[in-house]
Amino acid sequence: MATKTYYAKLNCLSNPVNKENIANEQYKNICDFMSYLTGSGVADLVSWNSGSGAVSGSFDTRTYWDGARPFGLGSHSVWRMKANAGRPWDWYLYLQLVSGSATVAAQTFNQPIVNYNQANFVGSSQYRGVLVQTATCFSGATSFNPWNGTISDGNSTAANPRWVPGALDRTMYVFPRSNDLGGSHTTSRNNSVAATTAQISVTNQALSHYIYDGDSLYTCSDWNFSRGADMRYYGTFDLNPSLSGSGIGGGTKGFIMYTGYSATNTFFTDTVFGDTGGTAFDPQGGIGVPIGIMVSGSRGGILQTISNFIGTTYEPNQALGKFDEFPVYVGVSETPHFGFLGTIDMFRGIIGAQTYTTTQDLSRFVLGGNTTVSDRKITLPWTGSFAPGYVGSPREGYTYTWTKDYG
Amino acid sequence: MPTKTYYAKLDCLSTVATAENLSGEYYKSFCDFMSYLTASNVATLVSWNSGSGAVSGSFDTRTYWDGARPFNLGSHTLWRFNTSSTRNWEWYLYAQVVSGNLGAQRYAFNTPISGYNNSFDAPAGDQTNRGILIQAAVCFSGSSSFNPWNGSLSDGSGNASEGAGNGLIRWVSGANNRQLYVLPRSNDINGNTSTRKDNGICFPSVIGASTSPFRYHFIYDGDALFVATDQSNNNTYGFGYVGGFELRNALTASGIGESDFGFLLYAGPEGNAGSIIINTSFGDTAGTNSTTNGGIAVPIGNMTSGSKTAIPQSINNFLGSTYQPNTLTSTYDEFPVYVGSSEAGTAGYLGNMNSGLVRYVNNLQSHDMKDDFSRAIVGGTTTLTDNKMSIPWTGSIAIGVGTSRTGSNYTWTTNYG
Repeated sequence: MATKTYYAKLNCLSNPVNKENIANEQYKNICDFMSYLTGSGVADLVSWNSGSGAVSGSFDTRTYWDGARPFGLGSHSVWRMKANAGRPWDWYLYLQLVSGSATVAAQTFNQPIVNYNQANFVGSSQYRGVLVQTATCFSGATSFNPWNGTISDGNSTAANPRWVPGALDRTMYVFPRSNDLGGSHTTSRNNSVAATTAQISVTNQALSHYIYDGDSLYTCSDWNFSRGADMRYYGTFDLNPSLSGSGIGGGTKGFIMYTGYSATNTFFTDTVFGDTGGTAFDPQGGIGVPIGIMVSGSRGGILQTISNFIGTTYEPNQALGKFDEFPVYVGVSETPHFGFLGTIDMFRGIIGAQTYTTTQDLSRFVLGGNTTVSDRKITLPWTGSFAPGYVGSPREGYTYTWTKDYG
Repeated sequence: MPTKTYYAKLDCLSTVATAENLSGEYYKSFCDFMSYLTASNVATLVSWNSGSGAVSGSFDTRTYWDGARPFNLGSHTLWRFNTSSTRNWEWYLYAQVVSGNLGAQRYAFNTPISGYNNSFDAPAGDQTNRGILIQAAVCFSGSSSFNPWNGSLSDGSGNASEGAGNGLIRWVSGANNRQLYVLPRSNDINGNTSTRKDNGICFPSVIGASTSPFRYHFIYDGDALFVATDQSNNNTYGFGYVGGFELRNALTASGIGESDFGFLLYAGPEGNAGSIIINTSFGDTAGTNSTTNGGIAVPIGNMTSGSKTAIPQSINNFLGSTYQPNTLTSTYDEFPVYVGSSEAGTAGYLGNMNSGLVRYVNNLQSHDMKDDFSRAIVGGTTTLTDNKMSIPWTGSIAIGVGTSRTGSNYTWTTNYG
């Protein structure tokens, strides 16, 4: 594994005891983190809209809900995750603060994902959340901005379709997978997934983390202080060595979105993420690699791990006296295309460890769907300077940048 | 994966219709392959015995059973696998042709593994059975390795197998500060034969009375030896793997001799669905398991006390007919054979069988090949959806067409990626 620079906004604790305000704080936090990435030279704000009824002012002057210039419902932002030496292509992130109302706010986004959280997110104003799409567009080693909305500082609007390749010889992937060929939303490319778990109850609270490794963005939200976090992963995976040079832009990486909450095993294995209907909730997303038939669009993905070594019989590793971290393998799994493609770099599987356990040097931490030690969890990069958890954390959390080879 | 030089004796076909002659031919071909490795400077003959009633003569003059100087029952050889540029420790392989007779030849090996291959009820006690029994050992201290063989060092004329006779320990470390591993695992601490270290296993299975013809392949990658034997020439194989295995990245330089390798022995008879059976332990402490046997050794933590029971794993369902062939790349994936200890107190993932030497595949048929003949498929069964093994191949001949008991020797250098 290569040495990478990591950017993180950690331990953001939202506790306003109001679903609107929690969703608003989460949207503000992710926008602040994206601004942090922009300030670090690894992302750009392409376009944004301040939302319904928002007080005018620049993006940088936006406040939390209890300040002078909060984002209004329907506020959205388009971000470019800039190419780097190991990834010669940009990818784009669309974020929007929404309610379940079928009126202005939700309508701005056209058709958010349905059946969200075992209920209909659309048309039920009791829900709040942040919705997300990701996209990339390229031709050979050159990538392009596929956003088809207006490019505006504060007044961006979406077009129909929302994303376009712009030329015949370009390949475009829009996640979730339902927006691409064979999907239910391929015409308007307007389906999305939740960037945070929907806020339903008036008593929900949330502890959120945001981590970017220069290629991929990981976000999670422990949304009721249960120490059980959902997980969202957007960006890249490393192709098999045998597929090196076959990735996007002729590189070594594919494009992936994985979102979901597994209360038992944190992430789902052997379960397709990215259905063509775009109605599945856990998991959702898809993968895109310009190989074979996938040049026509993204497909459903699937995760696997090494077989039974990642089990309580073998963990902690008794021969080594410590816990192993196992690769999470990625493949395509959509009829008639099935196959192993590569490995996720940023997070790894672990079992037998408790949520929020860290390595001794605080360089990695454990995140789980629950607190059952024998259930599978993941490990993620951590800053090395303080422990994860609830105590003393402000809603804006803490931002860090560090460089490390995680081996 | 590094570029390696591969040495092979491929497509040996024995068509003699008796267990005695089959085992004799198999042993002779094995010794010829080892002599080929010796001539290639990657192995050395340390000691040998021509067997019961054999005509005297040098090792190089030994013939097949129908020649003037065949190896006879009880013949054995002790081989050293020389250090390589990446492996700074030697390992030793003991091989012996035996019958199930409880007389002199069988006794020479003391207590071969019992209950091996249920259908034949072991070489021991049934003189209609024949086989090649093996043990593998390594002895080291820091980055220095030593010969742990405790028998005499004799060039065929004496009884080298027992040293000073029955009851002595076959392998010894020779000094307090040395580490000794003897596989199969039953020969090490808490194993049933840890005192005399005299248990052996069939490599890879018993030869019954009517198993002819018999096809087999030997491949050495400079660190480990892989053997595939098809006892009925029906494309179903038993497998043997012995030697170094690649430690996972996190354990680099924690291996034997502070190298990147551990030590592994696996043997299993033909007919095992899934070939090297995933999630099934090999190397029991009793040394009686007939389906899979062997063991694993790495000088880490509690494993410094001796070898342990091992277990193979792979990537979950990507190794399955749903995902093979990979419909995106229109090729079949080859997956590592991950190995670890499965013995209580040391259970955990440690590495993989050498990645160029043997890999898992699925939904391929035994004797399928890459179109450039660079790799061949061998399976424990011919059921398409059972896992099989991908092994290096010479690039110049097809598998399964050889008609000679001598097979063909090849050396080639490649990087299997």
